[in-house]
Amino acid sequence: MEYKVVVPPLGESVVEGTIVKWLKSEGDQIKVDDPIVEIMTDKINVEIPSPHDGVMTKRLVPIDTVVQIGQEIAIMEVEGEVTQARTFETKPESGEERIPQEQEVKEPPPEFIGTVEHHEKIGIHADKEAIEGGIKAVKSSPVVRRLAREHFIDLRMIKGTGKGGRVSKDDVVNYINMRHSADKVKPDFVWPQQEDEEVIPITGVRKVISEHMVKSAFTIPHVTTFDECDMSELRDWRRQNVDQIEKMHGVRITYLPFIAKAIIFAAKDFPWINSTLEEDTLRVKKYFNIGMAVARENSLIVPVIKHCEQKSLLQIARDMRDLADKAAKDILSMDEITGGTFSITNAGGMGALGSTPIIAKPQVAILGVHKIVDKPVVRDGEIVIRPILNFGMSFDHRVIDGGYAVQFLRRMIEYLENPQGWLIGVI
Amino acid sequence: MKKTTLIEAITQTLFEEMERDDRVFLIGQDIGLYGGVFKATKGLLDRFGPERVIDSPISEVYIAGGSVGAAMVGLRPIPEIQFADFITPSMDQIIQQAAKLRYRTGGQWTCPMTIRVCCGGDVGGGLYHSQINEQWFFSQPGLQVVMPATPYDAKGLLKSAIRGEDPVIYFEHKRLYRWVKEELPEDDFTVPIGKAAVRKEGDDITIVSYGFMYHRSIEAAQALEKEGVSAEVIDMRTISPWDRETIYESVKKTSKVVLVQESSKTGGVMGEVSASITEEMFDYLDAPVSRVCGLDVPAIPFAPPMEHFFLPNAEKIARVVKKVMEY
Amino acid sequence: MPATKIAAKPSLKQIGLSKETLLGLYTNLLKTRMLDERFRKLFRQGRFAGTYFSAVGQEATTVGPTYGLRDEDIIAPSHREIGAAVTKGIPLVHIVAQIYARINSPDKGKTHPCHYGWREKGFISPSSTLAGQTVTGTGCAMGFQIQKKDNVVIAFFGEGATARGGWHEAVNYAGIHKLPIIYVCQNNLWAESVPAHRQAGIKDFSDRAKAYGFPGITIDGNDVVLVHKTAAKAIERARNGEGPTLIECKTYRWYGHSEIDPADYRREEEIIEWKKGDPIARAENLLLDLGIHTSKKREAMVEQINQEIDEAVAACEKEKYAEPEEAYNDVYSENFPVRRDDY
Repeated sequence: MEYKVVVPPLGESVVEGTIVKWLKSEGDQIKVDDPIVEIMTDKINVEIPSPHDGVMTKRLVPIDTVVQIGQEIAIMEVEGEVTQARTFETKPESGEERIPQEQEVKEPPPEFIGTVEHHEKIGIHADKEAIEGGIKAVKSSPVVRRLAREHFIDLRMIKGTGKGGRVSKDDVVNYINMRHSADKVKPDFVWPQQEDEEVIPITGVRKVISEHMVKSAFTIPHVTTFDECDMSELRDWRRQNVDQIEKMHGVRITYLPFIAKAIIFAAKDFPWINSTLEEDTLRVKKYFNIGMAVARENSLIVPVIKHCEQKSLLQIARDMRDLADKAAKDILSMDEITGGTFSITNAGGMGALGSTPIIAKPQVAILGVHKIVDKPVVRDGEIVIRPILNFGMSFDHRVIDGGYAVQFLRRMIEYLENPQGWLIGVI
Repeated sequence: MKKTTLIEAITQTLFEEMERDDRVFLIGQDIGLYGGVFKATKGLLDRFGPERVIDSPISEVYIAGGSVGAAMVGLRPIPEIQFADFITPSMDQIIQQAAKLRYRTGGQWTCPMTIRVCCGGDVGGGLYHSQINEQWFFSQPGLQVVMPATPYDAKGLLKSAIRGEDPVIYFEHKRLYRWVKEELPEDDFTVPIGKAAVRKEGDDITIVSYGFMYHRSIEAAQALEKEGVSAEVIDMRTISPWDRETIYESVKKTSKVVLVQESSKTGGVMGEVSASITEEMFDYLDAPVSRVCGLDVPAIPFAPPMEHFFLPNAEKIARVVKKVMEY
Repeated sequence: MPATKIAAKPSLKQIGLSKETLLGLYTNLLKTRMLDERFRKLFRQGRFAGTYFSAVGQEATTVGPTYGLRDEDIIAPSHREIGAAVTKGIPLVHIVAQIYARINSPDKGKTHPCHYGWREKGFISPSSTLAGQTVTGTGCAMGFQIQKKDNVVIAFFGEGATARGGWHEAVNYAGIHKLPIIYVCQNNLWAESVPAHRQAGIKDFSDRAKAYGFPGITIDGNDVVLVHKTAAKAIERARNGEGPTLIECKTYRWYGHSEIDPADYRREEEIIEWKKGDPIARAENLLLDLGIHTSKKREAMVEQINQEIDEAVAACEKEKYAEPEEAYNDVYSENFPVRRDDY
């Protein structure tokens, strides 16, 4: 069999030696214990004896070669089965040699963006109760707790990505960075229900909304399309029934539930409108969780009405009322403000005739609803007065093409302009 | 320019310091005629003679204690303990005399000496030629303890130790003697005792180590870099007094720490580093301070599979780093 | 006419040892030598890890005192006592397995080559700390004295180890209490690279016994008969409660401290001179002179020993290393498992 001659251990710190002299040539007969080769290190010169009788078949390295401990240096042919000498790893496991570089100790960069002063200045104040409540409620590390206190963060506002949903330092730093960018761009940012620019102090649960909005505004290529809707039939129907409905069902129905239903019907033909986009994945939803912006004093919140496709107009109206009440009392849960698939924002309550709303990321579209105004329009060649509602719908141009959005909006308006065909089924 | 191995850096330094200062002398087993069992003192006997390069009997108590005495009367002894495994008899003199001399005499008597101790595993040395016991000296105030990982530091730290005024335990890792090479400046230079080196900057996690384990740590860090983990690697260089500032600054940045030491985990240097970080830097931590150490068994076993099992390596370090990253 | 001086052929009676004893001593010497030389070659061939500490040239100093001991008597060795290991009866396969660090070694591969041990035969697996076993061996003797047993301990060490403090503490204690121990100093003239005169201010290391109040004697350590007889007398004394003896055996190690030591600190003439006094050749010549041995018998012995060694080496090379987790065993008694780190 073939037997490989290896460089034996040559001392505890020795990693290599030099072949000084070959004492056998290729083809030589070798007796057991005959010296084969002489190897030199800076500690010792040794002759390596043959472990077996045999023939030298190949010398693998010439003289003056530096060889590593355990390296194969020759091949012998020996009779019968013999055990191969084991080699012993003493050479570096990676790399030829270690050439360490001296480096100066450098100051670490600032650990996070934003300071207490900065936040005070832009109006983010410490809500100690909320912050401590968050610290108690959420599994977090010392540095996360410190950052929460220093940056006025209610940890419940952050989705933890650590083990078991732990909020990690990275999560908090990302949150701070996001908020920081929000702080920086705020002056350019128009709140949907407001027509002027205003800095709004944000605390508690409302912060989440603002941050999401900002993230949307600066990551989504927004396009807004406008169209107008003749509300004559719907207005007539509502005027006839609203009081009676309120009496019977305890809820005063607005136009928004009708609009929600029209969205659902129209989305059957344009399903991408009701979807979410995260990284490279578009999730087209088969259900409709519709966020409806609720105006509050100096602020706005978007509670989400879950599964509108399964709910009656009345139920949607009730849900809207209940959520609005909760919003007023500031007792909305996370669940009630998350999970939306499409949003409606009603600037019309304040009299707006038009707006370009910001998409609630990761949704891909938002419908701006405005004030219904009697306007002169042309019908059958004649100028008539009709109640007209201007819609402005913003959509994510990464996935929704202009034509698609325009057609969707038109289809939705057609449903609203012709409610008789479907109204009876969803009351 | 020629690259210098770590052991050559030590030999060079001994030459230079003995030339520079005639108070410096060497004492130890096999260091003269033989030039040291690892050849660290090769050529010194010829150059400086038997009065300054003393072959001692096998008497570790005296090698250490006799050196203390010589230092007391104004010399700069460099005793050598051939293997850290055999330093135990010296402990009486190192702990009771060297470490406490200045303290017990109100600063009247001092002990400027450098005990060179050859240590460490991964060389097939077995139970009694692989030990690394820096923790014993680390836990004794009054001693300074250093362990260079590079030829540059080997030279710079040895010079600082010889020129300093305190007893220094200078650990030489035999695995590094001929493995680590680099070009050294020709000019005289020192590396300050008590100062760590940030060898690689990173943002995600801090890996702290020293000696041979620094090399395993940097291997791990380079592998982790390819997986998107940016590890900062700190070589402590001096174990006592250790450089809190450099380590703490890094912890502030990364909030995650893995500490690597070759010797057994329990009672080791990294236990103290970990405790200090937890005590003083608690508010910056994002994950438990974790350690990768030698096993808690009496010494490094000989058979190669067991020896490898005992020792921390790049794979083990990377695994622990990832665990901490996922925390 | 001057009297012609004819070298008298020795007789068994003059020697004072039986034929069996002489053959027994010789067999162990030969076996030790052959095994030792084999290990050197195996190491050179890269067939086991670590290093190897040869005792070639010193065999009589260990074989002589050990031959004839009881199993209960204890050997407190250092790292150059392969002769004592062979003579005390550690199975050959255990000795080879220890060198190869295989799972069938009594130490499971934990220590380092040349640290043989086998409790059944009263042989302590040593540490590498010189004179370490001199101290614990003295403790064994103290134990025997307390237990009122007439077992003895033989502590082996080199002259270099007598410079260690622990050695002196142990020997002092044995002197006070007349412990049943025989201290065998193998003075091979070199403590690794340091010559004896740089190790001690005395010429004969047996002088050290004077300071501790018991007999010390310096003898030719390469004369196995002399070594054996001197030791037997000391053992007799020890068993009778008369206390310790220090026997200094002047001898020589032919090779380096270990196989990675070129031993170039020694003069070539010194080596040649000492090789002339080869203890194995001397014993062999004596046996030939006594007519109890022939070169033919020798050949047969060599062949048989070679075969035994071949078999033991083959068996061990086929054997595995212990699993890495073996590292966790034998730290404490079994009720105290070691905490394991899962890296």
